[in-house]
Amino acid sequence: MLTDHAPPRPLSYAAPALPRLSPTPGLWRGPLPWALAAGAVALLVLAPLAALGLEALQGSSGLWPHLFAYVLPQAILDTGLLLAGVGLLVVAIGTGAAWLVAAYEFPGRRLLDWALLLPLAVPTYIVAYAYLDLLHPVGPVQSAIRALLGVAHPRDLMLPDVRSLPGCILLLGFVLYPYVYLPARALFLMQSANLVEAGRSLGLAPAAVFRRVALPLARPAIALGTSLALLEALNDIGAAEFLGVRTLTVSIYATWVNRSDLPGAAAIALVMLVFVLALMAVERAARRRRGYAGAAQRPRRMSRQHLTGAPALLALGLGTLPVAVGFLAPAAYLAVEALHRVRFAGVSPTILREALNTLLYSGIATLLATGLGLVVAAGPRLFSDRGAWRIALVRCATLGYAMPGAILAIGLMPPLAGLDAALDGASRALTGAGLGLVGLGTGVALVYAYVVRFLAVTVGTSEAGLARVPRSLGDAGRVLGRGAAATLAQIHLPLTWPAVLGGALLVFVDCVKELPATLLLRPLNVETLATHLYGEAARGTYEDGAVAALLIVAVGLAPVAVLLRMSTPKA
Amino acid sequence: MREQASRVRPTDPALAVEDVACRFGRVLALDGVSLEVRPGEVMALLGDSGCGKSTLLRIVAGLERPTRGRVLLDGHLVAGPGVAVPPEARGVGLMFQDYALFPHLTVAENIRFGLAGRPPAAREAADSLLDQVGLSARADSYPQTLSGGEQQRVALVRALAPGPRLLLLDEPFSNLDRRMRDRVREDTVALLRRTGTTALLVTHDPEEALAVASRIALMRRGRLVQVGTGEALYRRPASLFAARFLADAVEIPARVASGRAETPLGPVAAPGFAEGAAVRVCLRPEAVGVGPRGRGRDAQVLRRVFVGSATLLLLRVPGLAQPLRARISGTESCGPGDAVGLTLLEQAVLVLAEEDEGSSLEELQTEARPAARRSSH
Repeated sequence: MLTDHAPPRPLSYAAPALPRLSPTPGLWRGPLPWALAAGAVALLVLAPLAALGLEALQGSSGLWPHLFAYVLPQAILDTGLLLAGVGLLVVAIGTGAAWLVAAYEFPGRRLLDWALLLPLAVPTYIVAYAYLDLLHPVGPVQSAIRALLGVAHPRDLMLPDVRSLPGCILLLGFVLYPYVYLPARALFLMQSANLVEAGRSLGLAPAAVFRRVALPLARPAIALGTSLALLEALNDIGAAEFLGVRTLTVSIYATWVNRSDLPGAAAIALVMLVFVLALMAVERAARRRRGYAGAAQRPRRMSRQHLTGAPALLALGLGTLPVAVGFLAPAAYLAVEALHRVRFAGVSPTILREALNTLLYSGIATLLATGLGLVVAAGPRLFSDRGAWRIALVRCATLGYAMPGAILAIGLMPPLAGLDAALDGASRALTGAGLGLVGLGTGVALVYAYVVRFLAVTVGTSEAGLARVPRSLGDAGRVLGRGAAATLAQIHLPLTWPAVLGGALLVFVDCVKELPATLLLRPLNVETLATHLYGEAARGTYEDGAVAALLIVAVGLAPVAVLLRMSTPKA
Repeated sequence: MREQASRVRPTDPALAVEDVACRFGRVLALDGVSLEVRPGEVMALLGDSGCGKSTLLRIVAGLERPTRGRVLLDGHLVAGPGVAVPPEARGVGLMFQDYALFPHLTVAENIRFGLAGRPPAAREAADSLLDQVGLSARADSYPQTLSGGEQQRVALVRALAPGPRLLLLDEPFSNLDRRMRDRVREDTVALLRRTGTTALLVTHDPEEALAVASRIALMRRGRLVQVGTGEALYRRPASLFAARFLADAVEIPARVASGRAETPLGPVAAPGFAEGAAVRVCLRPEAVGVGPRGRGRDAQVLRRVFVGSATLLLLRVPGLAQPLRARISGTESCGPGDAVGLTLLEQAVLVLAEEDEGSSLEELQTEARPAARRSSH
């Protein structure tokens, strides 16, 4: 111990000179710069919403009756049915699959555990694009069925057409269920072990345990996942368009692109916002009752029930179905088609250029979103007085995630067009030369939309990372002479970079996949991989589309690994 | 003005807290606390969890802002109306309950963290400190690989290395098991003495406060209850709460009549109380003398408890509901059932005003808590 090791010699320790105390409040060392930065971010996020409202109000007085008579009834009905169908499907598949891998042990379970996440890599428009061809009357599936049944001609065997609302619901359900699977699986694995075992010991059959114990416990997580899946479904433009479903998003796009009617598009976007708010309200209500979900003190893994023989095969088959429909079939189709294309025509320079564009816009947006997300998330951790306004600022900055790309794009156009005109005018007055469209013409608008839409991801992952750094470490940094920014850089960042990088990866992939905002806000004549695919599918030409789609899916696979690691509770 | 003085004057306390209040939403964590710590002294802030002692520590460090009042370090105003010197500019050291060692830095890097911009001599001094606590060999280890006691020493050295004008310690020994704690506590106090460090230590453990501090500030519900040397607090508690916090006692409710409080053990002097005032006569074991039967009041031995350094007798006294406890040297031969004679040592008997609105039950519960926590280690 100390006295044993230290010989009784005089202390050679001399206290260094004390720092001079400055009696100034230290305005710029305090929370003010953070508040300004977070406030600016919140304003940037809220601006498109405000503009949307103004734009919708400016439309001619005849706008709403026309919309209500001709556009909205169909769009609202289709969107409502789509959301209801997809909601039911993702809850059924996601929860069922999560329970299957959490409660049972069977051959292939470990593989399924992560494979069930794979459909996350397939954007809705790509799954639709793939199945459009796969299930085409002369496509491989129908041809195979005819060959099996000995039918010669497509006309002699009419199978249900995938280009329909039920077809759209099915396809979206099979790629969006991981949003439910992921949180439900984490919850089943982590929280309900003791309670599930208590249920069993009280004499409940496994099925009854699921229905009466595990399901109610997981309800908040399921609600959260479902709301995220439905926001994705609402955001979808490609699948609905390809499969002939006139959702609100499709209507917004058509109103703007085909009729150049911005007030009309804004009005439809406002209606869509009602759907978003309803979804958020449901999710909030579910979260409020989250309290009992955290009852278990020490997470302990549930012991799985071992299955053998026919039940094991059945479990494997049930678990494989969503992976096969949502990932394996479309990915295999794309791989085969892409291979054909590359063999036939090589890798076209167009695709390379588009890949570069995708990389550029997504990369810039990722850097910005990561930096801003970290700053926004760090505020409440770095400054001690935890005012409610600070939390409110953070919440505002993350609102964009609930805004489908189409709403965001329509909301961004008026302010950016105004800004462009003002900058152009100012430049003309000052230098005599115009600047052109600085915002809408250069991709600034696109990057802006990406950042607003995905800021919640980086804020969320940064918050999660920072939350794992004990508060005392930050305090220690301050007391040992570092300012707030230096503490963030020297203490928090080195300890949270995996979370921050994980967030950046998620945002990058989300940007690569994002279709509606890209479609509406990209500079003239600039194509990304996503818009290329959309263009080909819309025209009905099948050239480099498969290559573009395969690239997007490949990029989309990266975060699956990250998500899996983040959601697997430590044993 | 005092806070504009450019030099530390010998008359300035190392720390002066003046009427500090702190409110978190609807919770008033501190309610008008005034306190002075003299240069070179070790003061303990003693109180239950939630009494505001840690909040006060954080305010002094600059990690929280008081809603009212002023904080002065060596006579310089560091917190007050319109003034908030950030923690990094206060020259105050803080040792955290969880040690808060940076897990991505080695022991040496942790200790040098607070020395940025200091001359090389400061680094040597820090290395020498590490040597003095016997951890030079672990300088390149990461904190997670050290034992709890070693982490505690690294945290102490890290806080001392920049030569703080005031060292704040937040429950510095609570993460150590009991066997180790006494040793580490002694070592820590020795190091504080050798470095001449002024320190303010937060603890919920009265034994720890008595062992470490030259003076104790007892807190309750955001207010200071009593400040004084440990002995003064123990022997002359200003309130029933203070008496209960520092040691267990058998309490006998009584009323004052002509300057005396009547108890089943006879009358006790109660100077300074109004006629008819409700008081409690507190009898700690050392206030009760045990002799042969016939000397003083009659009592019967219920149980004899050997606690190592002493022997406790549990005694039944006619007219007293709860058993009385007395400490004997252990050489006496009395056992259960024996009749003995009791005398009260007047100077050790405490007579304290009854605390209002029947709060005694709640006090007993809060008092029981630190004891329970101690025994759980």
